[in-house]
Amino acid sequence: MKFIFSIFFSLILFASCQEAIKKKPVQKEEPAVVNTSYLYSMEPRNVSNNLIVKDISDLIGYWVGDFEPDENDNLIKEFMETDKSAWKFYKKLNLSIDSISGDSVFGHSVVSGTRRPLNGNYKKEGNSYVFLLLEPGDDKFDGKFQFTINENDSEIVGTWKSFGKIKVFSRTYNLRKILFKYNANNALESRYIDGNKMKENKLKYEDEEYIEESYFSTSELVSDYNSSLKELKIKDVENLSKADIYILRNSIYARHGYSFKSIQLSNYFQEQSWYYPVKSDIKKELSALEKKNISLLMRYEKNAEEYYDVFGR
Amino acid sequence: MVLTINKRDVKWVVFYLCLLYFTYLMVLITLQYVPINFDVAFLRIKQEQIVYMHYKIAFFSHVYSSIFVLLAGFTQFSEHLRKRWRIVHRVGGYLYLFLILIVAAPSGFIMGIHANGGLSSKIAFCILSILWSVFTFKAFLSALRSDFKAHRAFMYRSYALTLSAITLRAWKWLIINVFETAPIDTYKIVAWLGWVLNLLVIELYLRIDRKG
Repeated sequence: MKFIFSIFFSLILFASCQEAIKKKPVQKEEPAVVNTSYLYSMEPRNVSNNLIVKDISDLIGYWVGDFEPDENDNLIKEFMETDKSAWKFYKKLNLSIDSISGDSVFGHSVVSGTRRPLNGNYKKEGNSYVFLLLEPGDDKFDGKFQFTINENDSEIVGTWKSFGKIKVFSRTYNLRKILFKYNANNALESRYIDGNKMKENKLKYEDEEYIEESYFSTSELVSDYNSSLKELKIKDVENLSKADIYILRNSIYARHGYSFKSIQLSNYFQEQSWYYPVKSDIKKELSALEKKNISLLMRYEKNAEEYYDVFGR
Repeated sequence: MVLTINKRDVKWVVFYLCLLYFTYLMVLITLQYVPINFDVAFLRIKQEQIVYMHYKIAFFSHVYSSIFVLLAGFTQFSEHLRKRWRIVHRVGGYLYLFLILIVAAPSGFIMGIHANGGLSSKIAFCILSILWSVFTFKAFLSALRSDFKAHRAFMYRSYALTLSAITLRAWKWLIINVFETAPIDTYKIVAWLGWVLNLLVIELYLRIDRKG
């Protein structure tokens, strides 16, 4: 009987074997190589250094800020208060005004790594400019932006309403113009801690049991490297943790102003004084050194995901 | 068939069940390298070394032969087989001997020279492969002399080192899951822990066995 039981037990163990030697890798966020040729793919040109709008041409540029669910609407307010994943709906917006000719305006929006073209017009009412810009409408999440900015002011205030029926169909935003420039010297200024990926370790200390929480977080080692500036060697990365490698790789995208789809990454880089989520496609802008570092980091990140804590080397 | 197990044999049943389970895991690990692929599993982090032809040959001959070394050991401890089916013990023994001396240990030595974790783990793996050959060969010589007591002792030592393939990986799993140490720091530890402890245990066992 005991023997049959142990055979049965070992069969159960066999069933979970594949996981014992290799974990399934998680889909990684990589800035997509989007075929934008059929889309409008312009960036703002002749951006003035004025952060205060003295003239209509000062509006050309990136306008960045929080893209918040409109809690003045009762339906959205209720959803935000009751839904467990509501925190995922706080996003960042880059409303880029690319060109203005006559009263017609061309631009694009970037939210969570997704770029949509904008097309519309403005009119002057008193000393304020009133805009109405539309996304194409062929995507479920397209909508229209309505905003105003006063002359001699530095802040865009407005709303966004979706065309289709989605959970958060109305959003508000206050945006400021930023002069974005890639700088390889930008260094990480804080630690990355992902509160969602938490491990609870039960510890016993003098008969008192308590739970120690350990997060998926970076170590101090990360600040020793700048993956946009220095070529990383195997000996630099082979002993780093999964989180360290993950952040070293994503910091390259962040320096180029990539607007992350991952809320955790987006929030983390928001803590860096130099970061702005302005672009959806930065693959073409990566330097040769950065590409080299990304492929090395990817290799070790994948290895860490699949083999770090399993039975194996 | 009705199986009854003596109390005396319980330790062997437990040993074989563990061996079976971990050997199965080793088979799964080996299968990752079938068909030959230079950019998979462990090789993904050996890209600097895999470009060398001698490393390619050493790696794949080690991986493909070691699993049979592990399996060849299965039949050798059984008194029943040794007495009733001597041919099985002999064939298994020669397979074990030749695979280690000609393939697995020399290739292990070459891989040891290129091991991750710096000089300390390189030394660990090179010593391991040398001791593995020496114990296996001495076991063979003592069998030729019909000195079966020595044969048994050296084969125990040899198989203890063969099992380091399993214990090294098990220690790594345990250390990482308890202490969450960095990958190469862990590797430096298990490069030694994986086989030194096995040898100590088997020496202790042989000593107790001799007295008892």
